Amino acid sequence: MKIISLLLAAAASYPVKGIPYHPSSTHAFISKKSSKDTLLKLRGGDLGPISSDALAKTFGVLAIGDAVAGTVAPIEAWDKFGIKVEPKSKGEHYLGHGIGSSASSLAVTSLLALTGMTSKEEAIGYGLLTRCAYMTEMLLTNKYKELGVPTTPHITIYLILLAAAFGLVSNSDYVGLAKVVSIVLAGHGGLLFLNPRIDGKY
Amino acid sequence: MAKIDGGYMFISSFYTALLSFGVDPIASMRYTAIFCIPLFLAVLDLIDDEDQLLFGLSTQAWTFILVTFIGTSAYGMLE
Repeated sequence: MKIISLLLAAAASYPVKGIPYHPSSTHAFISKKSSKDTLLKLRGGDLGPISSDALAKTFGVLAIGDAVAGTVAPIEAWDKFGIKVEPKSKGEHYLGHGIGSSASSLAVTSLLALTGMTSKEEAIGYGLLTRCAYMTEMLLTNKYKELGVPTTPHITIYLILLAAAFGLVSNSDYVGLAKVVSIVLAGHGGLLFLNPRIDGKY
Repeated sequence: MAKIDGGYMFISSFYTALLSFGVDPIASMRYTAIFCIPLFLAVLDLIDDEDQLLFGLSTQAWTFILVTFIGTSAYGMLE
């Protein structure tokens, strides 16, 4: 009987495979790493059965909705939210073409990058190409002139975007240019958001 | 209305910028989602006719729903 109790006591203090065991301790303990992982998990992570990947893709899908609504029927779409937009007005351009362009770019880039269908660089390239498609339409219809955008800067940005997009899609090292272009566009968008005064009107 | 265009251009390009600087696509979307909150609040400011809002909810109710949705999603995208 004494032998059995001795064996049980030894088994209890013996390190079990897979559980970290401190040499100076007779008990298994939770390592610093796994304790840190648990703490980080408390700060966020998957929402129950919904993975963080699925949540990120949801935002990409929502952007598709904005892109379709902004491109196909902006006036009708905004009317559903109680926002009246005059046909052929600048408002129709900003809430239609403008949002369609940015939403399409975001949807394409995010879904390609999140699904892993392409590399991150190619995803950025296809996103820029999508934006370029909207800019091409603006150039062909002269819409940019109606909005008071000067020709030279518009065409310059258009060409730089095209160069960056084709460079990234063809797997050339255009990431540096993509960084510059995206920061410039984000800065332009941010300034427009903070100070949307156009021709003295908001 | 140019404000909404600018806001959307910002979040779209911000996502691209984060990706180009090597940030993980999910983490990039987390930060981008947070910036969607001021954009949605700006959209709610544009509403002329509150009675025509989707599902008959007030702007306050929509503000609560959208901020909760975006906040929860951003939390869920933490890793």
